[in-house]
Amino acid sequence: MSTLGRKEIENRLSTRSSRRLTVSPLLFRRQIGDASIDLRLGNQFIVFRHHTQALMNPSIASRVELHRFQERRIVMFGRKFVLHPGVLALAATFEYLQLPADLEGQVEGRSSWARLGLQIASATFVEPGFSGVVTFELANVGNMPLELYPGTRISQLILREASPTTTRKPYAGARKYKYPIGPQFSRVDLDYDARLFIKKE
Amino acid sequence: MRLRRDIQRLELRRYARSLATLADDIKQAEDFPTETARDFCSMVHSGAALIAERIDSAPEDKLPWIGALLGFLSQNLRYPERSRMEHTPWSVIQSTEAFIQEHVGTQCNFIIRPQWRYNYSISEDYVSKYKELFDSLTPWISAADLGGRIGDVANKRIYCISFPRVEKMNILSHVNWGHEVGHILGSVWERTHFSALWASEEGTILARARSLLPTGTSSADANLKTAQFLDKTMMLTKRAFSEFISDAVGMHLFGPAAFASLAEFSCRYELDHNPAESNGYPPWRYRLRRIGNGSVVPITLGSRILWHRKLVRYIQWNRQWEALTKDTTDQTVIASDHGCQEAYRVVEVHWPDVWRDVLQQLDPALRVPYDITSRYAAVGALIDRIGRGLPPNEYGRWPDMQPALIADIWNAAWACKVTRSISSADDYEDHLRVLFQLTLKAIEASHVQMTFGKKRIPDTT
Repeated sequence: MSTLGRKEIENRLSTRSSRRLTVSPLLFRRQIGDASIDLRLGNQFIVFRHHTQALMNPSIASRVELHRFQERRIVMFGRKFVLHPGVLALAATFEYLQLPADLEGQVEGRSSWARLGLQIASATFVEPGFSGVVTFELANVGNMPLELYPGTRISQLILREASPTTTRKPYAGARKYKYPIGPQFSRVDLDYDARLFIKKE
Repeated sequence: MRLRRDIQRLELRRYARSLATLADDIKQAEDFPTETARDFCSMVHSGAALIAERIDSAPEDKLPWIGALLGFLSQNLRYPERSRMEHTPWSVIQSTEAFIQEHVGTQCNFIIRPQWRYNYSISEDYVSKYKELFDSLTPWISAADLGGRIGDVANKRIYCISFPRVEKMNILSHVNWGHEVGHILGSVWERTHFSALWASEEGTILARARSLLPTGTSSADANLKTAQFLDKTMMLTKRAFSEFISDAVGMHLFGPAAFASLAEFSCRYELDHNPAESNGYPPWRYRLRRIGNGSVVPITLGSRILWHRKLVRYIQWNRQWEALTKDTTDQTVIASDHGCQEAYRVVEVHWPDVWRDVLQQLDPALRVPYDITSRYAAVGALIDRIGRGLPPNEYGRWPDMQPALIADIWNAAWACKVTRSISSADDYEDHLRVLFQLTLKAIEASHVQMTFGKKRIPDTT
């Protein structure tokens, strides 16, 4: 499993074969680095309404209850979203990704932003065949509030060749997150074993 | 009675101040897709504050009218209040406003908001309306006073476009906004051209009215009946022109997508209603025939689009409606009513000149209608993207990608909607849910691409 370099990334973006990679739109070619593609912050955010509930137990909460904890906020391009220290917010890439069956991806924060205290994710493995925008879990671990503008390059996509999948259409069938165009609310309640270890009272 | 007068002024001042505060509160919301809602709130705030400041000097006989004016301003606040992003398909509002402004001028601004009624509609220009209302209170207060408070907003035009609440995410249905924009061009045409047209026809219509009078009708009765006939015919003619111009503008802007959305919308209604009994609205069959017959934009199978199977099926789907319009029940209904008959005769005789005059309002470069046969490559490529589960926001081969035009995106999405074979109602709805998502994303992404990206100018050839 080798990481794709600039040339291979460009080949993947321009091919018309089933090995085609789509990252759309790439506003500037310079977003492609030596071994990664810079991704921009989208303009949808999901924030938590701490004042509405005493605590959250995602495993037993219904979808409605989970949504009650969170609310979607839109920030138009050109305006800012302020992420305060210690706050978690969900956001997504502006770019829509589509990975072929033989590529997997990892979305990581750009170090320039990490040095300011911005963490973008802890779960950003992108499966082969995925289509959609990738959700970030934004957290400010610094001491100063951060102003984030939609469109800013805050992350990078690193691509690796994956073992050929056994299915013809990877990422097909029932998935929790399909063709997303914005950050997705947690659907941990849909985990097949979400309630397995909770003692019935 | 002095007590009543005192209370009246106190209450009007309180009402005006509360309204000004409320307008200011609504204006503070962070989540308006454009600045138009804030401009609107500023106008209401300034108007109400002005009234509050001067209420002590208001003429006694104008107090009830001032109360009514405040009521009007207050009701209007529902437009900006409901235009916040959570209530609208926010991702397309900026691009739609930019697109519309290209055609009707940058002084035109729009508040787009949901309404519970299942209909699309557009309001009059509220800036002009407010100036008119304030001028009716001169010398106590005037449009100039209001203008002095609202600055640049006084030079703008603000319209409110409403869409059915239940269709918020149905981005394909919102192609109907093109029709609503047509009402702006239609109202300008009506203001500048209708009187002359009517004067040229009035004699003929009057003669027709007289010919319908039974023998022995008294002179007074004859005058009344001919006047009523003229009034009714004028209303029907104006309404018919208004709707036909708007339909034609929709076609001009979006081609087959406008036809598809109008045809689908018409399925909720009777096809052959009598305009005289429907507030002047022309029968749907008549409207579909008019825009489907190629008089504005031909919907034909040009040889260049034959290569794309879905485009061919999309055009065929549009042409299938011809069978419906070959039925002439609507024309029989119109012929059965003398007023309708005259109104639609006038429309048919003058339509080519009317449409030419409407197009004159556009910049020369924009007078060429959207023609899918010349956009086949872009639309075909966008259809393919949707088929691959991608938003249709750009086309080409990387790195030479072109941001897509909004009209191309809408046509590609409609092509995907109408050519998909449906196995069940659930399958239909799942397909549409994904199609709406991809289209919403595409319209926003192409707008951002054109506004901020390297390739800001799309290829329109």
